[in-house]
Amino acid sequence: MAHRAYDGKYDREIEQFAASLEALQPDCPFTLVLIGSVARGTETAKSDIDVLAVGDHALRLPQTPARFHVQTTTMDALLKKLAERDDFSAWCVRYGVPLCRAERWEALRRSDEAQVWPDWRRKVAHAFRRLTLAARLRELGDDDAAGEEMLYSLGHVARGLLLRADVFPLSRAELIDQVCQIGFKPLSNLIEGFIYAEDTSAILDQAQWYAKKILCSYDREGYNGLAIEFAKTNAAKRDRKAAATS
Amino acid sequence: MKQLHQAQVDWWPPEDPASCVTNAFYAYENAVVAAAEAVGERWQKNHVEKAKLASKLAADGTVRTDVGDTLDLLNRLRKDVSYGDPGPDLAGLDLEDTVSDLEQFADEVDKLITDLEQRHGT
Repeated sequence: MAHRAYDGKYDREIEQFAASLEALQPDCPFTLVLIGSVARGTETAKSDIDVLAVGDHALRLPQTPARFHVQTTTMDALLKKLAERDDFSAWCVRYGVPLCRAERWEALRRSDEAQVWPDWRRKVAHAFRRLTLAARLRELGDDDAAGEEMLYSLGHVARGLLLRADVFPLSRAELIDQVCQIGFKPLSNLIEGFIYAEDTSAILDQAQWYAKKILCSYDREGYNGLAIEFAKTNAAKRDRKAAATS
Repeated sequence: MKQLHQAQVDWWPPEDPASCVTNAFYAYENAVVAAAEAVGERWQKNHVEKAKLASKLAADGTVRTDVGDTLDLLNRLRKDVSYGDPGPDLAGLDLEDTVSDLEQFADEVDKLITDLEQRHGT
């Protein structure tokens, strides 16, 4: 999917939100950055409008407009995350569209921290977490929720593979072409299915199997460590539950 | 209801806030949908619309508690987590209170459905 530049269609809502944010904390300067699919012009009707609010200090959020998903952080926390090779922060810096106080954002973009390449291994933990949640939701019989979590998991898997191949992952819809180009056609098909199909129950098992296979083969040690930790936590919870009910 | 049980287990030590908030969110949504279906209200497969529906059901007296804002909050926290590492806001959430409020709402919806079934003799 080809991206197009943000055309300003949510500017009015964003301006109103910025005014409420400022009213809540007039002494804390902040930058609002459009991120995610809307920033890339690849959104669907189901997409949220993702915004990152970066304050000089911690920000409190006012009521957010419908469909808006606003994350808050501070400039220091963002720099720390970049230095820790966090891919989400790196994405925001590379492709985020600053909507106010753009000069501060530009300075951040030029920082040494912003030049650091994200660590693909972190994505194994992220993908594993969403995969276990999806599997549990599937067991509980909520396929819609399982499908949503599975899409998050596949997204993390795709981002890990791309970072490992020195390709910076773009928006979710663009991952379909990106992973295909590095030779992961089945993953590309699965992501496409979870984004666009109305009912994803039929591909849940296949996705679970495929995501696990990729995670195991690309970072067996990391995956095993996570699986052992997960099993220990579950055993502790089972014991606790048994003690509570006995 | 199974998601409620999972959320209950998730706040026990060792806590799993990310899983707790995700399961609590889906449990709330399913309870709202169950309440809507019980009174013949139409619903859409969309998180924002389900939060609006939750407030509508409270406004028209179908349920006592308006969980629209709770759904918005949990959806935001769940999405923060889904992008990667849990955001700072999740650390500030009292998981026990969240699960306790969810239990009360699930009871409320359960009672609504039972009352309606008894009224209709099913």
